[in-house]
Amino acid sequence: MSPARRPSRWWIAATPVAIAAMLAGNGFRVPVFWYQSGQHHEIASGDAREWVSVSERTSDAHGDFSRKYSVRLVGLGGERTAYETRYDDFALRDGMVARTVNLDFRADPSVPLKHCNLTLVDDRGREYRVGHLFDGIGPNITVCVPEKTPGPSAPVLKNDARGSLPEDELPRPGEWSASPEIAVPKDATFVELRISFENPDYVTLRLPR
Amino acid sequence: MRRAVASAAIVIAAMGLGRLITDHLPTTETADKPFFHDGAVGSPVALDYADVTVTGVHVTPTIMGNPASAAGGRWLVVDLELKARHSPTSMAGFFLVDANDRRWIASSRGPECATAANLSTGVRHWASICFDVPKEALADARLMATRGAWDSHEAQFRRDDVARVDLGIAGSEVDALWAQKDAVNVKEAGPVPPEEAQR
Amino acid sequence: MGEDIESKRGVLRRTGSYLRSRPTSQKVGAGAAAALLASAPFGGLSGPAADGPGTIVAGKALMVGPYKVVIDKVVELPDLKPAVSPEPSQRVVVLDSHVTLTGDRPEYAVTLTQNVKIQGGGVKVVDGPRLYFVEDATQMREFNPGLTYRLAITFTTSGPWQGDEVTVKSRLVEFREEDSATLDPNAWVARDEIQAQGELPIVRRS
Repeated sequence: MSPARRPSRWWIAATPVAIAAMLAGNGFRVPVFWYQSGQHHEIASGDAREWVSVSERTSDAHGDFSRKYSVRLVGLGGERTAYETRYDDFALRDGMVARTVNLDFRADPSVPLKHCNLTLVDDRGREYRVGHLFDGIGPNITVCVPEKTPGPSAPVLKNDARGSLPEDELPRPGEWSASPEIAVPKDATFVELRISFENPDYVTLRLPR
Repeated sequence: MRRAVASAAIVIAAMGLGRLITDHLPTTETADKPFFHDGAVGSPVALDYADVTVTGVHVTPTIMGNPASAAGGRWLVVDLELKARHSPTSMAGFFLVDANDRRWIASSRGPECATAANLSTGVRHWASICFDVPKEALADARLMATRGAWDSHEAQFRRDDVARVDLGIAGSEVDALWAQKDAVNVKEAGPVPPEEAQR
Repeated sequence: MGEDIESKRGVLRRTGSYLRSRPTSQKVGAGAAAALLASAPFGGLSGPAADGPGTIVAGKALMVGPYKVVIDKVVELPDLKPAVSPEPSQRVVVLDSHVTLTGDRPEYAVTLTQNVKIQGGGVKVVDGPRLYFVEDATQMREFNPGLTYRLAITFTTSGPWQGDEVTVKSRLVEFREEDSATLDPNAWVARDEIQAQGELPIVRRS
């Protein structure tokens, strides 16, 4: 009679490897469906009334570059019920008002700063936004820049040079103010403003409590 | 030898059990199924991300416009009022389910007919969805409204909230609705209520 | 070595006597199987030969995936306003058709537009096909089943069509319950294979 065989134990070592392989195989979902599809990376923050300097790693048709600017939240103002949309004015209802977000910016005239979006977050976590491609109301190109001198766009094609402007457009000044409007409930208390050019990056400017 | 037979039997039994589970337990259904919230015309359906209210239902061969839009069957026009609750939301899934559980998708042909809506938090948005359908789609039709667009394997709104609104069309009413000839004026979608809309 | 050859001969001899002792019916069956195997290099084991491309004829129904398409005639025009307004040098070739989505579920128009093309005429197709409902000139992007539309299937060409015939081709679009490429179940999948083609006369209008 042969001695009893020892039970196989190789699976004990294989199990963690299998679990790791499964997680790695499915792991792409986390960056694609969560991290890159929302605001998940705070690149700078500061309090209202103080200058916050921002350097955001990004890329255009020519490769990587840093979008550098400084921003200061002066405060919130206004509570008109007339809201200017992309096409027409309309009257806000249901207790909503157009709140002005007063911002000061400093940046080199060559930095592309069109297409920013602003989100006001209230003390209940509700988000009110202007400037995003998927926002049904409000402007979505010149939210953070002067309307007449918005400065350059980020080149999408290799043929476009960085920092180039349309012929009849003057360069953006080195310092300017912007006061876009966001439709919000009149009685909401806001805790922060977020500035974002592309997901997942955003800048937080905290409002006084 | 006995040991080998026993292990083989255990492996086969385990595979059989796996097969029984995948065949008889509704695993895919629970994993993929959206969360339906039922409602009726005129009352808001509260979804996790938005409130959906059907404010009107029309059946017509023609949607007014220049040129007017002709239906291949009839237009079923559903007027909606939408409002995002907590954060800006895009809704792209608007389709019908009929009495036989068949799907019917919205048409982009009518000049102001919407197939999607971008909602700003707290700002009411009015939109009309237009379906070009044959007669058999009308009885007991329900409007489905959700974020992901309809596709053939309904993958874009798995595990998401879906409003399911009974449009209140009884089988006995279908003939009369089908015979209607009056054109319907669809107003531009947006934050302006239809009665005030310019277009 | 010698032993090896001896044993091989023994095996052959035994096999021969075994085969000879089989009943006739088994001999016939084995012979047929052997003949089939022998014909394998010439296609004996492959399925029935695939049909060549079908023929597209005006007025006859053609299936493009779930779509039933009847091309009534082919027309060339300088434009098809208000639907299609090309450059003055360009032309619009229209397949004047009746299209029905068969089956019991909706489908987007791309399943049709990506799988129909025209060739010939010494010109390039610069845009299309697009689908316009003839009754109101609106573009069809979605279809519900069971409705028949008279559609203008439009192709914008780089210039006037040369010659009197247009080659119309349709790709094979098959229904797959499981598709390893897309992982989408129950989907219509286009194959890179022409399912039908035909030469249709072109009518010129100004």
